[in-house]
Amino acid sequence: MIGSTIKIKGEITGDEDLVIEGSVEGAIDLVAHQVTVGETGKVKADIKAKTVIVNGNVIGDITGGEKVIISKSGNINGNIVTPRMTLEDGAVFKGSIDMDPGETLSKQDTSGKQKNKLTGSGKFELTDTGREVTNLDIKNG
Amino acid sequence: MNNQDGQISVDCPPSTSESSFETQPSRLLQSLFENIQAEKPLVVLNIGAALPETINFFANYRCKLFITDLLAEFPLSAYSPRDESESRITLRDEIADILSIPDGVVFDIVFFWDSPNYLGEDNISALMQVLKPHLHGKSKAHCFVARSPETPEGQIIHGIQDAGHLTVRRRSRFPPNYQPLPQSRLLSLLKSFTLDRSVLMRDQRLELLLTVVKSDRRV
Repeated sequence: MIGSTIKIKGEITGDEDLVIEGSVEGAIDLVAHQVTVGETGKVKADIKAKTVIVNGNVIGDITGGEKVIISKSGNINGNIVTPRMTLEDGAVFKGSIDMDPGETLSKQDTSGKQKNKLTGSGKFELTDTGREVTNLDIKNG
Repeated sequence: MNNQDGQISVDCPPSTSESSFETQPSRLLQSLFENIQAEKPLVVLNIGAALPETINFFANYRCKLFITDLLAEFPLSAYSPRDESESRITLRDEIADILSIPDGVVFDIVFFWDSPNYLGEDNISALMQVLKPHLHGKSKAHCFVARSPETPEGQIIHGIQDAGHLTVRRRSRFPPNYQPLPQSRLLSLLKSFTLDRSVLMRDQRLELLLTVVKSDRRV
């Protein structure tokens, strides 16, 4: 999980689910997993995941291999490609939605969620007002 | 009553449902979805807020849905009533920027909803300039317009429940500058479209089904 005080600039890749409550700028590629942008999450990045759930703010394109869900607190400005999409009452969306209910974009199946601890690699620095990290690679254990 | 080329018929009252909105039959909505080709994705422009039921409806189709709540971007900074010709050019650029329609995209259906009652003449003209290259010979459009300039501002907004029913919700916020136009003036401004059919609604608004005029039809 990316906590509410954490700011990341760079690319996030890996093979587990991710919850974002902080700030991410760059790109997020977790194509076989679930990405959740929490209510306090602010993402300025393209997101690729099997399932994308947006409860916060996203500026960028979203590719959901199975589905994309925008909750009532979600705010998206970007383009979405997904076979299935749900938007809750109160959600704000501007952009395009490319849907094909007969097709699943993801060709990768996972046997289950991997709940390993988040470890970081690559450069990062801590600031007084928040933590900034770059090029975070989410790995198992 | 059946709709025939420009003739007006009165719609049915909305029915209550268990959800947060009511539903209302729409004879014109069905016409929009006729002749959809399954092998081609349906391309739709929704000039209005993204509503859950509308998204749910289009999720049943292979489609590309472009959504921009144009009125939420108002007032436009480009508006300049003193210099008419310059304001039109600038308005066009600003509206084009807001809609951000990629080159090459052509729409099968355009939903204006009730935006024509708020845009004003200059903005409608600018919008038509922006949309013209994105229409084809079978493009259709749908909108709600005031029956006359004296018609009170509508308290509701619509979405799509299914191909024959609209949803009806109470407005939570009102766009600025309600400025309905006489129907004839509005239709003259919607230059790329011609009126196909219309239905008079209970709140004295007209539901319009529009088709592309022949001279604007792309080959």
